[in-house]
Amino acid sequence: MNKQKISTLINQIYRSNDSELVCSQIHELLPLYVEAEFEGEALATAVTRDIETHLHHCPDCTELYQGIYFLVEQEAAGELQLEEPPHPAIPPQREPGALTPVAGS
Amino acid sequence: MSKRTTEAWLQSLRQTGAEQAAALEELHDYLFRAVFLYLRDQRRDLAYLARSELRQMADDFAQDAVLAIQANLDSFSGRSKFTTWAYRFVINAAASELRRRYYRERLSWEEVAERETAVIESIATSELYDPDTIVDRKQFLNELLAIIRTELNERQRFALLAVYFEEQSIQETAEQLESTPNTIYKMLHDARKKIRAQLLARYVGEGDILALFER
Repeated sequence: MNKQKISTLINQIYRSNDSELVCSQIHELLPLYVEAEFEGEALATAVTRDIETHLHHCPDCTELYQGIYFLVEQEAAGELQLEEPPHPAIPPQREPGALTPVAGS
Repeated sequence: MSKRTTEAWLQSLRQTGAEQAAALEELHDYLFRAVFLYLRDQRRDLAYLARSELRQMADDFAQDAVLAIQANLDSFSGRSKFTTWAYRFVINAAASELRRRYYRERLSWEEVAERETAVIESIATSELYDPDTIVDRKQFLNELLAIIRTELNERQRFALLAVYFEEQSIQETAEQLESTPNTIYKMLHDARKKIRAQLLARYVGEGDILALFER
């Protein structure tokens, strides 16, 4: 036990709201929240507060949020781009730098 | 990014037959690529794994996610992109399974009581109780521990000590208590509110308490 853990616990206690959303509710809201954050937009104040309060208290949902955000970033950067499936009559036109399919996928 | 729009994904996945099968395969491939990048770039705890092992893991998680997405397709609200919504399932599949790798053995209630005692004793004998520690800091810690012991029930005490002092995940704590993450979160929320009420009755506010640990 150290000062950091005690300070964190005290902070968590004082940042408790009278009502808070549970994990399953946060899971439903996270995709929308992540997209809004990525685009620099804001959701309704109460929704944002509820999500951020829960993330402050829940390491599991924070991990989920971080993972979804990472993938939204990757998608925007084109890192998840799939090649066009091969047309039966026309050979695929591979653009320079296009990702090759991961072997075994 | 996926070439399909949200509408195209939903339209194909709600079909039957070849069109649905093709969409499911494409969804699997897309999520496989996504979760592979997540495992490779975001999970330092997996840095020791060979690429082939990461790919096998990614394949398993993508398959789990596709099944979950199929089962929950009707719950998609359309307020986000389909792909962002799908990421929730594949990350959840990966994170949940990877947490289980770090689980400790399921404990009996006697062992729970022993762990609780051990954690509280570790707090009492920690650096915060060094001879140079300010008297009121020590007093606060004694009061905090007394509040935890008297105001919280057995399950709340275990969950609080496990999550906040031993930094255990909500998921593992839920499985140890044969409960669900939602219930554990509610339990911790109730515990926090009880402790806060008691602390507010004894101290002016958070700043007064945090100041004790900054000196």
